[in-house]
Amino acid sequence: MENESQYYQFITTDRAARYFADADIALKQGKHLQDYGMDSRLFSFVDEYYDKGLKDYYQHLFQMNLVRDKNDNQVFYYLDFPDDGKGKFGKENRSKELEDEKVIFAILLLNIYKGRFFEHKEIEWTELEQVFKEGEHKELWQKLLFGRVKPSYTINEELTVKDKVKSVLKDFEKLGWVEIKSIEEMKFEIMPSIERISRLYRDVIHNVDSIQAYLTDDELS
Amino acid sequence: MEREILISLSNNFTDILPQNEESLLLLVWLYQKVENGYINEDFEQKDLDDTIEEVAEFMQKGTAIQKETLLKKLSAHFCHTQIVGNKYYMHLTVFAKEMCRLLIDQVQPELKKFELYHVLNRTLPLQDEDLQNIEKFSHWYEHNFLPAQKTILRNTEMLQTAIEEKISDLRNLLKPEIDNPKELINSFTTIFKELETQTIGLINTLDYKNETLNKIKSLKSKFSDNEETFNRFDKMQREIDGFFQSIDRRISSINDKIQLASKRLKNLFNTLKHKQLFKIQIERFLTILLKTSKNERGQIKLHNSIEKRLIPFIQTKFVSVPKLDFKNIYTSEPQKQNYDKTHEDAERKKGLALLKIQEATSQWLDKIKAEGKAGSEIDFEQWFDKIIDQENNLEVPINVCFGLIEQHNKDENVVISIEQTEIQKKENDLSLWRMKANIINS
Repeated sequence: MENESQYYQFITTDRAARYFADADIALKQGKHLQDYGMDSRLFSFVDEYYDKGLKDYYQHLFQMNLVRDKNDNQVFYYLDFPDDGKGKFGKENRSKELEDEKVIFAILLLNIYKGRFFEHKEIEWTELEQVFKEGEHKELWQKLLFGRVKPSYTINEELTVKDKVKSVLKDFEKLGWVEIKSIEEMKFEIMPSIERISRLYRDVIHNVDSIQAYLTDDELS
Repeated sequence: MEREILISLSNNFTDILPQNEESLLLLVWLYQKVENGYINEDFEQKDLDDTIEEVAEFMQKGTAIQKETLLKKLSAHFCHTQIVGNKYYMHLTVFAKEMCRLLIDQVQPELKKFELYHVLNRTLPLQDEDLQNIEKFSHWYEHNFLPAQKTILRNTEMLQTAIEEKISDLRNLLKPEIDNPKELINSFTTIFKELETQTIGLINTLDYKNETLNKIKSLKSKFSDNEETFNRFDKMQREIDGFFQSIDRRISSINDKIQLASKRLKNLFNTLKHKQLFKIQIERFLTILLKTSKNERGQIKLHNSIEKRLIPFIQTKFVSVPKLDFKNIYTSEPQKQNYDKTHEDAERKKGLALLKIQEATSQWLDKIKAEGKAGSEIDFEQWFDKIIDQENNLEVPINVCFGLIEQHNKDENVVISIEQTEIQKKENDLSLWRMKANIINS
């Protein structure tokens, strides 16, 4: 007991009364907290108490890791499973699979983020459209998004794809991976926490040669 | 009017613009030589010939440049010739010089020119004299503000172009095939330091503008007496205000870009290799995903070898509040009904009396039936009196009577004969017809 009270002293602070509940709920809903916009206060709270009991709190009571991560020197926090299981998040309805389309869009956004190393990461729909219709892999993108490659698409087909991307962006915003500036114009900023997708697929990214070798030529054509 | 301009341009198109590379290079080269003092403002035929040769050498064209044709083309708008004594002298026209200056600035902006503060410090300030009346203010607007506005805009655009080009060049750093990347980073760092200096110059300029703007705004009351004067002043003031706001935004955006790129350059120095490699791996992973994924009925499906990954996620469920119009909702307590105890007792008694009659009716019917079955003839008149005596209620024998008729209707073994002979009953002011019933044993 003595140890525990020492671990969780943060919980009796005024700042905890103000921010802990919101930060806790956000983290448990898969959100990545960073020093940006509305999340700045929650980030500041987590940042201050991370080493003062907050990390241990999740470790001891939920058997989960509160991870402090960095991308281009910008810190962000998120909850992650321990190496040997899923902690208290192993029960039903306490985790979710990242859907296939989200994986591919997250990797796309990460690629754009890395390509804009020297610039701001604000993106508009037209830039994504350029990737899908004029980029190096335009045909692969069109096949994936529209189902087939055509010289032009109907308004409905275009709208369906746009809505799909919009819906993915909204979900990414809930995770803290993007910050939507205007949903109508589909203008958004890619956040440093997009790096998390590379953590989730770390093994694949680092062994991309083996994956490529494993897949047959037909599958890669 | 506009149409005339178009016709004129169309007719002179081949003369008014240099039509080929050698013409353009020759003009610019001549302009630079004059500007740098290598040849006189009024240069000789020999200077021109030398310059043509230099351009030909640069273009590796040898003698392919047709001197005569070239000179003929340039003579209309770019280069005029005068004869002094027996010598030919030539000079570039003002139009040619202006065009050359613009071209040079466009392709090679001089970064030093970006520091506008000193230029504007000389041209932009409002003196007390400029504020005396609307004419003097208007003079300042036209001769100081408008030229300064043009210079600021031009320099801002140049800076923006330069920044975007440099940032675009920076992207090459992340490609793995570049030679001496660290050296390249160093050279970029120097360039961005210069750009930072220029931006600071621009920001200083804009800070300086606030003083000017405040002075202008303070004139509002001075010019408000006369409507025409005020309108003139107001138009100029709005123009100045709008311009500075727009420039503020542009400069701030340029500055942000420079700061971010400079900061990143410093960070990149030690991690370049790692960043290059990681970027390539992500690109390759994305390519694999694109090549192996499928669109199945509108849904993107990754290849089976790409395992799904979990993230912690507890969905908070909010029970939705039903849509209620509270004006029409009653409280949970039931509405109190009007309650009459006497009426309730009366109803209860009435119910009991009815029940009693039904019970008695039923009992009497059973008795009569039993007697009938025993073979006796049922003379209802006698039974009537008997029932009345015992029950003291006229309803019972009447109900028994109907009961008997009903039984007869259902049962073929019961025969009822009704004689239309009236029997008077004194006690109840009642008259009956004589009725007899017989049960036939089948």
